Amino acid sequence: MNNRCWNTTIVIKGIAEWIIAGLISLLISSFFVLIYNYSGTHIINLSGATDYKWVAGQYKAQWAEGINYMHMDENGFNNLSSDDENVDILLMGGSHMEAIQFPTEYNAGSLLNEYLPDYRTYNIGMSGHQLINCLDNLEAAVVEYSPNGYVVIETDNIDISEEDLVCVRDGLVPHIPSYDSGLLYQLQRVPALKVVYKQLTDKLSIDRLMRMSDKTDVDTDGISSSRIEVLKEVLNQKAAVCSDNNIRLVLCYMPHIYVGEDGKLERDDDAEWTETVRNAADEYGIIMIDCFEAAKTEYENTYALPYGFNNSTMGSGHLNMVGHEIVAREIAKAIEEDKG
Amino acid sequence: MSFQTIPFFAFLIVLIFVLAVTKNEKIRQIELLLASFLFYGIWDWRFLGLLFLCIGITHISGRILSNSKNGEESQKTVLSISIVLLLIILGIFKYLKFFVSGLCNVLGLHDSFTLNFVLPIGISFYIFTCVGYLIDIYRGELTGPISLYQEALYIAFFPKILQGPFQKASDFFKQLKEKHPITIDNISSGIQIFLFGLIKKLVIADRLGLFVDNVYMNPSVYSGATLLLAALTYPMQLYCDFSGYSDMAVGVARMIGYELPQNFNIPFLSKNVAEYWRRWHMSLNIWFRDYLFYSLIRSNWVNDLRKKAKGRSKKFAKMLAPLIGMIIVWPLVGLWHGASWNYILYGCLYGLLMIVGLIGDTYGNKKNSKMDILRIIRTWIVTLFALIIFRAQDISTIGIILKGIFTWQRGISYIYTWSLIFVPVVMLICIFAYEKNSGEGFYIQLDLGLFRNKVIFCTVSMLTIILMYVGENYFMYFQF
Repeated sequence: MNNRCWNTTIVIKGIAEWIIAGLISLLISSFFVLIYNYSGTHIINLSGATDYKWVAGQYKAQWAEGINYMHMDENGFNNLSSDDENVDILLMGGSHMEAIQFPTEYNAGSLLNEYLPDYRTYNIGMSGHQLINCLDNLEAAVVEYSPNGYVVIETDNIDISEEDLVCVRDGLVPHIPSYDSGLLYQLQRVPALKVVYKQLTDKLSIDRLMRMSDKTDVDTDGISSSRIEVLKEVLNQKAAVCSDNNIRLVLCYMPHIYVGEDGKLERDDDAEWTETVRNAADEYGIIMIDCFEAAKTEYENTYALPYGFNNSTMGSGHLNMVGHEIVAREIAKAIEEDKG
Repeated sequence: MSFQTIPFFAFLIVLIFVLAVTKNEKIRQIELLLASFLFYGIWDWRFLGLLFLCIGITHISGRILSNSKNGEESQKTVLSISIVLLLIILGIFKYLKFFVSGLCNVLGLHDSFTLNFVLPIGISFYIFTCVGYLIDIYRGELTGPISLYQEALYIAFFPKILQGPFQKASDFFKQLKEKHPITIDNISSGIQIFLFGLIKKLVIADRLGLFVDNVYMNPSVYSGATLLLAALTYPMQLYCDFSGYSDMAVGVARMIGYELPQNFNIPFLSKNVAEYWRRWHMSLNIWFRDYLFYSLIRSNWVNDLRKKAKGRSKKFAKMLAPLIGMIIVWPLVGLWHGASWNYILYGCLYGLLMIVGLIGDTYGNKKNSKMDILRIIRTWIVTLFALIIFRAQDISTIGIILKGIFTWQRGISYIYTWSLIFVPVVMLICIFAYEKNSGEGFYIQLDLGLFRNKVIFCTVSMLTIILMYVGENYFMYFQF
C-alpha cells in the first residue's frame, strides 16, 4: 500500500466513510444482538409494585446465560398468562424470578400454578430488584394486585446492611431509574448500542476492581443490636402491611451455594445473620422458607445445582430450572402447611 | 495495565501521537523507552527497580564482553558470573520457595521460615532476554556500538516485556538502526493484527477459561464427561490466550513501526511433538535451542562422548549429542514455566517423547505420508495429556482428573456450550489456514482504504465488544 497524500478532501472523505461504516456496523451488530443477547426497553411502573417493568410483550433473546427466546406478557412481566386479576399468590423478586434464562413454563411462577392449581399465582419478578427494593415496593404491590392469600418475596441474599434497612424502614430506598423518553430512551432501543454500553461500563468497573483487589479491605456489616432492631422494625412494618390486607408474607430464601472439596454442597452466607432473620420473621408471623436443604437433597440425588447454566458458570449466577423447581416446591409446601 | 484494558488503549493512542510528532529517531527511541518503563511501572513500581538492576548487570557485563578479545578466559568468566547473577535473581523470586520447601521435605524440616516473594511480572521473559543478549555478545554475533538506552529498550520494550515473544538481539538492534515513522499503513496493519489477538483473548480464551478454571479448581465433583470436555478445552484456551497476547504484541509493535517474531504457527496440526514445539511458543523453543541445547551438544565433553560411542554404533553416536541435550533441556523448559512439580513433569514428558521421536527417526523406517492424519491425532492426544499435567495445580489433581475421565465418574454435569462451539470452530479455522498457506499461519490483512473493508473492520470490532467476556481476565502466561 502507498502512503496517501494528506489533503483535506481525502481526510474528510475518509472520516465520512468511517462514520458511515460505523453506522452500518451498528445495524449489522444490532441484528446479531437480537439473536444473541437482547433485553429490550424498560419503562417506569407507575403502580410502584416494581420500580420499572418491560414494555408489553417485550421480545427477549438470551445466549449469555442460559439459552432462551421469549416475550414478556402484556403487563411486562414473565408469566404464561397476562391475567393479573384475582391473584392469590403474588410472587416478587429480582432477576432470579424474572427468569429470562429459560422458557416461561419452567419458572417458579408457572410451576406454582401447576403445583397449587387452586391458587392463581402471578409473578412480578424484575431484574435489578434486590430484597430492599421488593420490601420497599411491597405496599404498592399489595394495593395494585390485592392478592387473596400470599405475597412471596424470593431472594438469594438476606444480608442487608443496617443502612439499607433504615432506608427501607423510612421509605428512602432509591428507585431504580428508567428512561421512558428522551435521548437515552431512544439509544437503549438500539440493541447493539445498549449491549456495547453495558459491556464497556462493566469492563471499566472490573478493571478498576482488579487494580484495587489487593488494596481493598472487605467491609462487612457485623450483627449489632441496632441492626437487629431495625430489621425487626422493617419486618414488623411489612408484616403489618400484609396482615392489614389479610395476606401472609412469605420470605423465600435460596442462599448462594458452593461445592466443597469433599463434594458436599455448602451454603455461602452468614449463618448467624440468617438465624437472626429467621427468628425475627417468626416473631412477626412471616413465613420464612430456607431452600438450602432442599437444594442439598437434590444435589445428593442428581448432582444438579440450583444456580448456573451450561453456557455460564455452573453453581453461580442466576437460578436455573432446577433452582426454580426447588423454590416452587418449597413455596407450595409452605403454603399447603399454612393452610393446614 | 494489560493490553486488553481501556487504560492501555489510552496509553497507546497518546504514545502513537507523541511518536508521530517527534522527528528525531533517537528521541523517538528514548520516548519509547520511557513509555516502556511507565507501562511496566504501572503494574507495580517496585518491580521497576528490579528491571533497572537487570539492565544494569546486562549493560556492565555486555561492555566488558565487547571490550575483551574473543576466546579469552576472562570473557568466559564474565559471561558466567553475569548469567549466574541474573539467574540468581530469577531463582530468588521464582524458585526459592519451591526448592526450600523441597529440601525441607527431604530433610524432614518445617519450611515456615521461607520468604514469600511476590513474583515480578514478566521476570522469566526479561531475564532470559538479558541472558540471550550476553551470549550473543560472547559469540560475536553482535557488533558495533550499542548505547545503554538501546540495550534498555531491547530488554524493556513494552510490547514484549511481559510475555514475549523472545526476540534475537541482532533482529531488534537492526531495526533500531532504521527509522520508524508512524504511518497509516503500519497503524492499519497493526490494529488488525491487534484486533485478531483481542478476539482470541477476550471472546474465546476468557470464556473458555471460565469453564476450565471452575472444573480444575475442584475436579473430583464433576462428571467424567465434564472432565474430558475441560481437558479438550484447555489446550484451546491456552492457545488463544497466549497466541492472542502474542498477536496483540505483534500488532502494537507494528503500529509503532517495529516487527516482532511470530510465536505460534498452527501448532494443533503437528504430526509429532518435535513439530509441535517448532510451532508452539516458538520463540521460547528457539531460545532454549540456541542458547542451551546447541551449547550443550557442541561442548567438548559431549563431543568426547560422541567419539567414544562412534566406535560401538554410528547411528547411536549420531543421536547421542541431541539425546543428551534433550535430557538436560526439557526438564528445564518445564521448570521455566513455574516452580511446581507438575511443570517439571510436563517438561520431562515432552523430553521423553522427543527422545522416542529421535530414536524412531534414527532407527525407524521412512514415514508414509498417508498416515499423517493419524499422526496429527496422535500428537493431539499427547498434547491433551501433557496439558492436563500442565494445568493441574499439583500432582494429585492430575490423578483425580485422569481417574475421573477413565472411570467416567458421576458428578456435576457441566457441558460447557462455548467449548462445543469454539473448540471445533478454532480447529476448522486452523485447518483452513494450514491448507490455504501450505502449513504456515498468516494474518488476514484488509485494505482499510476500501469502504467495504471499513465496514468489516467496524463490524468485527463491535461484535468483539458484544461477545467479549467481562470478568477477571489476566493473561495466563503472566504467571510465568
